[in-house]
Amino acid sequence: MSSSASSQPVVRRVEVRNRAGLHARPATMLSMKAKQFQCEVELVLVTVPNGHHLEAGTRADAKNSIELISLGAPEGTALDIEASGPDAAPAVEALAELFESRFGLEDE
Amino acid sequence: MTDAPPPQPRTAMQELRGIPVSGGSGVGRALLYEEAPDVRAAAARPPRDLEGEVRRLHEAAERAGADLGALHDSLAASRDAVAQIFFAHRAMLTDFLPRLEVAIRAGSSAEHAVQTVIHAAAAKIARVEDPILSQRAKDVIDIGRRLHRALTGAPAATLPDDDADGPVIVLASDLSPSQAVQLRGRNVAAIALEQGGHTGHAAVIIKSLEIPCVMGVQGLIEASSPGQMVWVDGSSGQVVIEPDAAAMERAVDLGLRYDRLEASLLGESHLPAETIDGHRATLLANIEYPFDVEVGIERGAEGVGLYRTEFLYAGAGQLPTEEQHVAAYREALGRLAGAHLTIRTFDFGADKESPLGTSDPEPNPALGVRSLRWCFEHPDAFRVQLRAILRVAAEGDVRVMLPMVASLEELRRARRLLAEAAEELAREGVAHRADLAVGVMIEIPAAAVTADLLAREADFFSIGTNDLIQYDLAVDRMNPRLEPLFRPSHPSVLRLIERTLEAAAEAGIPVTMCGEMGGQSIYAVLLMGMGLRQFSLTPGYIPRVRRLLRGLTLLEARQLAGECLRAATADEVEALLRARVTPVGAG
Repeated sequence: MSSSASSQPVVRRVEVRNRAGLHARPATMLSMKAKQFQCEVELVLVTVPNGHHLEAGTRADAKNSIELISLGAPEGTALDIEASGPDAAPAVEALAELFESRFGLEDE
Repeated sequence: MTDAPPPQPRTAMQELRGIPVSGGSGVGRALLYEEAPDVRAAAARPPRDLEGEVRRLHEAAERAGADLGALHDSLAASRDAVAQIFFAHRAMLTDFLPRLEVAIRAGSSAEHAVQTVIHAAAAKIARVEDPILSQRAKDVIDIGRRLHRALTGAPAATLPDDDADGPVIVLASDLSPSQAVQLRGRNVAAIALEQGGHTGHAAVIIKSLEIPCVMGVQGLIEASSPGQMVWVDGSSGQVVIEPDAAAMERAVDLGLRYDRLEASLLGESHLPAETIDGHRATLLANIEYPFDVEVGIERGAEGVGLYRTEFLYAGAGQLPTEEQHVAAYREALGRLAGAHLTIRTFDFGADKESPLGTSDPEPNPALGVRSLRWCFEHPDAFRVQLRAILRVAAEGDVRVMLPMVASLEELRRARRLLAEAAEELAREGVAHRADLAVGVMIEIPAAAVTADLLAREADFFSIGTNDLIQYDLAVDRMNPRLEPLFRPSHPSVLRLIERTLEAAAEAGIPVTMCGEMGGQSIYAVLLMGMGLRQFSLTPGYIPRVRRLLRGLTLLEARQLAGECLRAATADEVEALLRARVTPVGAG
């Protein structure tokens, strides 16, 4: 495989699509999924919906549910998933899929 | 008046208002629920033995985690949404450990580390602007308290045993999820809280416990004292302290109406779901876990029309073994005591993630490799499940049901795999039943439209309305913006169902509906009129559907169905149903 995989971080932009935002269950699902991979994975705040004052560039360890919840990312937040390490590409894909599927949660 | 008169019990009636969170009415004596004070003083003492302190932390975390796991398991049967809350708590607890360890190594006692680290995290989350997300701070504090208790061996603040001589009304400034779940099985008539709202996890739990509840009641604690009579109407949001005679009468009336309805519904569980003119329907239960069977049986379910087997994977991240499948199916079958069990093969994909993960994210998972398609792509996993089903079929009335069938080829292919699995078992000399009934779920419009073709080779149909509506109307059911477009009453949906029922009747095979449409009581009447005779329902819906069907004649249901099928729009259909069907418990 390409040798750049381990040196260059893999990045994918995703959006929080759950009505309740990145709350406890999505955050724990993300962290549990992320822990299945060896690479380091972080979520980086890119943009937040109008009316919210979160700081772009804030980072959270994707393997830690507490950090993820602390991001306080409401619905509509754009985030970058950044991973570096041997299995960075599949990790990013797996996490992005969780966002896209709304974490399989029908929003309550 | 002289100095410091003893506090007089307030006698004047006070009416407060809050947010109605959980419906129903309850009257009882006020019980103030207070959190035990934090033990700060001893906590700050630095530990002598750092490694020992880290070990204490891990041991306490293990105990707290085991408690949460037990709590999750005890709730998973009937209250999955609630169980998930404690599942999340357990994961969050684990994620706190690295930070706690750092704090201990910097010279804190384990207790002090818990207090500082967890409170700092909670404070940070509480500052989040989004009101729903900031509610999660309460979950974090709840986890911190649990861990603290595990460290100190302090008992959980429990509800006093005052509820022995009559129902109580729990009044508190706030309840954590752990506290709310303790109210399970206690004599709690209602709950009123100063804080909180719909979106907190405590609200989710209280709703699932079906305890009437009002939250966000300003001035509640100030206005009440222990032992007072309190009336909480969780449907209107009213809290009345020391209700006068007239209010009490209203309260009792209202409470009786709710109670009578529930009790009388349950009291009918032994009665057949039969119309006044003697036409019977069969009510079955949808289950996720083997022990869900009990809830269904209690409500008079005559079998299981949909056993969702995905739970076997829940959180496991790997494929269950054949023996694990067999054990689960056997347990469900045993609890059914002779009634039939319809097992749906794996329905992964779209909103239910595959345990093997997916290498290729799909641009449109709802139209992607899900359900039966997934099984065909993973023949080894599928074979394990089919073998287990065939084996358990030798022990009772077991049927198998294939989800997401779009064509006759798919049914044939699945039947071929089933036959191969049976041959394998035969070669190995393992007891099984090869000729069990194989049903097709009608949840893709293509299957409904070609139901006559499928009916030639399927042993039964089961209509899955959630997906059928989604695919028929091209409305993503996970997209909240499209909710108003997701309409079971759309003439096209009704025609697909009609076509399916006709094809099945022609071929002489039974049809069940296992989607949510059958459980909405107004549609149950329409479906009965259209010719459906088997409803597989979330157990909680069974009593209401039974009551409704017992109150009508097939003749009127047929007339109503005829008019609905001739209607040109969903609005017209809904207007007809509203005008002619009175939902159970209304009015």
